Formats: sequence, structure tokens, C-alpha cells
Amino acid sequence: MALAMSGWVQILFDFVWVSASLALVAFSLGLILGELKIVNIAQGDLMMVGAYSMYALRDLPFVVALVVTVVVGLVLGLILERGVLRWVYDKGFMATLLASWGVGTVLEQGVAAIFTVSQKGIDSPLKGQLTIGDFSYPTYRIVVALGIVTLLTGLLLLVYRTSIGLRLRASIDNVEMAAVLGISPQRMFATVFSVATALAVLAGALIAPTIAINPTLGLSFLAPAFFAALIAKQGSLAGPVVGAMAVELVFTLLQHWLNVTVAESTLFGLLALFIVLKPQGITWTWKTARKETS
Amino acid sequence: MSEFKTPDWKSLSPPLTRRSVVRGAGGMALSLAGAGALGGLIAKSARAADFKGTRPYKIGFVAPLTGPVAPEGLSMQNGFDLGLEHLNAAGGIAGQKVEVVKQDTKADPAVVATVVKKFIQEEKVDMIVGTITNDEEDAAGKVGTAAGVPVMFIEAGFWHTFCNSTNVLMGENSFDLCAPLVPFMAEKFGKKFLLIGSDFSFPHAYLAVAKKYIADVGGTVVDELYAPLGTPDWSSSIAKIKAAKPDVIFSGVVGGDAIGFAKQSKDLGLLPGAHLTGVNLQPEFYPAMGGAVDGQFACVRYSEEINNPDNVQFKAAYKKKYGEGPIPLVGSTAYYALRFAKAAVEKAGTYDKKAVFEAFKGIQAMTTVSDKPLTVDPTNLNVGYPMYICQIQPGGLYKIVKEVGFVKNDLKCG
Repeated sequence: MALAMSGWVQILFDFVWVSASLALVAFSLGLILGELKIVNIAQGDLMMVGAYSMYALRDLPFVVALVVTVVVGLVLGLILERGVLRWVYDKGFMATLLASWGVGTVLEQGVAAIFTVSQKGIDSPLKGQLTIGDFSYPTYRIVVALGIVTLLTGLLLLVYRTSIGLRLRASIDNVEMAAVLGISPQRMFATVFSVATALAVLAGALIAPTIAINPTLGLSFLAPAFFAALIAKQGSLAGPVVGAMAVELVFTLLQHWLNVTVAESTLFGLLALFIVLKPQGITWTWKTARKETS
Repeated sequence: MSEFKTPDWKSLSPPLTRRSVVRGAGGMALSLAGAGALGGLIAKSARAADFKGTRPYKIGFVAPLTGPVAPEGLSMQNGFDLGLEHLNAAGGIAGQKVEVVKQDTKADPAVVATVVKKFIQEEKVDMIVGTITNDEEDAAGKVGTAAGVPVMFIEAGFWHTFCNSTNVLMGENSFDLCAPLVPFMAEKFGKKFLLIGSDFSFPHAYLAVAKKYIADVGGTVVDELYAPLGTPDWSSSIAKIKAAKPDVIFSGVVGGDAIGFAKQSKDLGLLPGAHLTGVNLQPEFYPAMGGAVDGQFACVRYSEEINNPDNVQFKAAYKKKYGEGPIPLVGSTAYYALRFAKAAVEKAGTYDKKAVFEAFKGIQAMTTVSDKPLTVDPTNLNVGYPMYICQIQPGGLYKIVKEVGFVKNDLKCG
């Protein structure tokens, strides 16, 4: 399909919007995968909690609701890590996978019990459009995308340019050695899970005004976010961000040429093929496992 | 509860078909007397006699109360519960209370089949009522038919897959939905249609029917887009629609996606300028759309605006019990569906399942949607509806702009 200039600009803006929100979730997944070596199936449901929190707080000013939601995320993350996950760390990969699955199901059912399963929606706090020539795009999406880019840049600087980040990376690389050096694994696990939960909750809160809010909304974000985290360079926290951009770039282009259903199956086919051809992408968790067993 | 007055037969009755007259004459006196009281209005049917049951009539209610179509399932349950309450207060079926067993189906056909089988074999139900999706209907219909138990669907779905079955379809079919709407939209906005739908069986079939009527009015289909259920981002589809510049966007996008698609269409500047119509605009989706579809036109079988005493009473009772907000179509249909069951059982003069199913053919009952009785078409077991074209008002009122009346179709089995 031949595209006019405005068509390409549209693709570019769509790409920035979808990859920004996915990057935030993928980064949070990557944090948990890297530090706790857990595949957190509940990450999509944490996004859902963020969206419902914004719905529950819809009468407050948007920014206030957002801050409260992030605090809810931090506390929820702490409760989940201290209350559930820490009991299953030493039970192996399958136990943590199932525990996170259970957490996700409880969150879905809990939200359904409180809010019913009826679809909910909240209004966008910024209703304007940014117009360039004959092209226009919602201001809200642009502001949120810029906000996420700023946040992720800040977080990556924190990880790679500060002593806190150094401790985190040391702990990700070898948790026992880091512990010997005085970096408490328990505190690090709790902090990382809490922050990662808050980031996923924040991602859900930010996309809430653009979607239908229901208890299973997180599911559609989970698979792309995992692929984004898996195709990343091993052990790198910038990796999932780059992965998210790669996934969404391919998906956005495919969607403009193909029907969405075909585009989606093609995308996941390509990603699966990529992981078969580049399995080092998924050795992230195995690397540690090998070290532990050798 | 006010006293029911038997409506004048001549003013209410659609023409009797030859088959129904023959059947009526063959076994029973065509009696119009006594219709029972149900909030002042209830089924009017040709009854054999004043049949009195010897035990409660038992119904198995199956609905997706969790899962992707739970909003529709819960709305259906709300309407059904209210209808049951009113029916039992007015004397039930054949002078007996109606007993109901219920179970969630999760919109999973395998679960539906198991639950329906259990209801028939263990609970010994006389009839199955419920289901939302076509897959569920298919599963429930097969089990019910094999056991000879009438299965009443609140939504119509694919009528043609139910031939040679014991299914009765309460909802409108895709012909009812498209036949009035396509010419209305074509005349008002133009003949360039773009079709978009969720990628599963119902939207494909629904849009295929729409295409037939688009061809009839000399219209063109500029593009046909599908996206899987659970699509969070509609940017690419919206960009394609903007590029195609259709006069009318005819949408079979349903569930939560209907909301996401409408909201994002507004965010991305497609709405309110464009003309969006189709099942995307069902009232149950409205509250979460944030006004994105205000001013658009929809074709429905029910509007809260319908001004008959039955509907006024239903609206008040529904909102008192379940809160404010638009009343979902499926909720209103589930409310009066049991009146058809009552009429059929009492016409059959027995609880015998086969006889009751046969009695459904051509049966009539009063409903909230019309001050005339509606009829189960004896040929395709589908209730015929007077359809309405409504314009959606800010706040969610579906304001009637055109009363279309009954849609003629030649749907037949075989």
C-alpha cells in the first residue's frame, strides 16, 4: 500500500505511543526477571490494577490519582513479594511461575468482585490534538510517551550511572557474591519487585484513558512484553526497552500492511523464529542457573 | 400490581399462518381468554385449556458470568432474575412456581456442554435458557437437541445452524439488524461503506449480511478489516479508515473492543466526524465509551424510550434493582423470555418436552418492546421484532428516530 507522507507520520506517532507503554512494562518485567529470576505472569494483571485504580480515583485530579496509583503499586509490590513470592524462591522455577499465576488470578477475581466485570472507562485529562499541517495526534498520547521516555531514561541512568544501580547490577549478576559484599538480597528483592510492580501499575494507569477497562485487560500486553524482554541482550536492563521498540516497530508496520489478525500471528511467528535462531536471548535466566549448579 | 385486561385479539394479532391455524384446529380450541397477570401485562396465547402442572416447572439457566463476554452474561442474568421474580409473583407457569438451577459457563463451549448435560440428566430440567456467544449456543443446542429438551437462546446468533434442533431464538437476527440500517445510513450519509469487525464467527456472518444489503442499495464496500478479540490498540485500523474515507463505518466490533475502538476513534479524530454504526453501538457498551458515540445512529430491538406500560414498569424495576445506566438489550430480552416459555407450556397442556417445543412454533407473548404481541416464527423459531433506528443522546438514551417495524425475511430450514 502506498502511503502518503501523513500516513508515515501517523505510523511514526503510533509506533512511539505503543512502544513507550510496552517499554515500561517490558522494563518492569526485565527487572523482575533479572533480579528475582522469576517469570512474573501477573505483570499484565498489575497493569490492570493500575487502570482500575485510576477508575476508582476518577473524581480526583488526574495527576493526583496517578501519584496515589503509583503508591498503591509500591505497597502492593511489597505485599506480594514479602507475603507470597519470598516463600517460593527456593522451590524452583515452576513454583514461582505458578505463584505469580495465582497472584494474577486473585487480582483479576478480586477486581471483578469489587468492580464487577462490566467494562469501565475513564476520560482523558488532555482532550486536545497536536496538529502539524493536515496531520493531528492526541496531545495525551504525546505527553504520556514523552513522560515515559523521560522516566525510562532516568531509570536507566540510575541503573548504569549510580552506586544504587551498581549494587542492583551486582545483585543481578551474582546474588551470592553481592550478598557477601553486603548487598542484602532480601532488601534488594523486595525493593526491585516493589518498584517493578509500581512501573507496571503506572503503565496500566497511563493507558487507562485510551482503552476499555476490564479485569482481563492485562492479558493482551503480556505476550508482547515477554517477547520484548526475551529478545533483549542478556542481563541488560536497557535490553527490554530496545526489545519493546523492536517488537512494536515490526508490529506497527505489519498492521499497516496486513489485517490485524494476520499481523499479530505473523509477529508472534517471527518472534518465535527469532528466539529459535538467537537462543542466547533467553539464556538470561539459564546463565544464573548454570552458575548455581556448576 | 394492576389488573390485566385481555387485549382485543383483532387489534393485536399478526396474521395467523396457515400452519398455526391447522395446528390450532387439530388439537385445541383457539382460546384467547385469560392471559394471567404479570405486572399488568403478560403472555397472550392460544391455550389448550387451563392446564395446571403437578410440580414446579424447572429451568436450567446457563450464562457466561465470567470471562470475555461476562458483561453480556451478567446483564442477561439480571433481566432473567427480574423476569422470573415477576413471573412467579404472577403465578408462574401452569399455575406452578418456576424453579431455576444456574451455572456459569465461562463462555467455554466445553463447559456449556457439560453443564447442559448435567442439568438435563441430573437436575431433570424441563428447559434450558441462556447462553451468549454462538459457540455456546452451538454447544448447548447440540446437547439439548440430542435429549429432546427445548433450548431457549436469549440472543439469536446464527439461526441457520439451528435447523433440525429443539432451539428457540429470542434475540433478533443479523437480517433484522442490517436490513433497516443499511438503507437508512446509505440514504443519510452515502453509499461508501467500510466494514470492521472482531475476528470471530459472529462478526463475519453479521457483516456478510450487511454486505448483501449494501449491494441491494447499490453501495460499495471500500475495505473490510478484522482484528482479534482483545485488541488493545486500534491505531492502525483507524488510520486505514481515515485513508479510505468511507461515508459509513459499519462495525461488528463487540465486547470490550467495541469500547476501545470507539474511544480511540474519538481520540484519533475519526469521531465524531465519521458515521459509525452496527452492533458496536449496543447500549451495554455505552457507559464506558465516554460519549465517543454520541450522535451516532444504531438499529436496536429495544429502547428505553418505548412507551408502553410494560416497559415503563420494567425500566423502573430494573433500575431500582440494578442501578441507573442504559438497560442492555440482552437484559430486556431475558426479562420477558420466560413469558414465551409460559405460553408454550400452557398451550402444549403438558410439560412433555417435545410437545412444548412444538408449541413454541407460532406462539405469541406480550413483551416490553411493543404494545403488540411478538411471535415465534414457526419456520425458523426466531422471534420477529419491530426494529427501531435510534440516535444516541449524550447520557446514553437511545432516542427513536425511526420505527422500522417487522423485517420481512425468508429464512427457512433446509
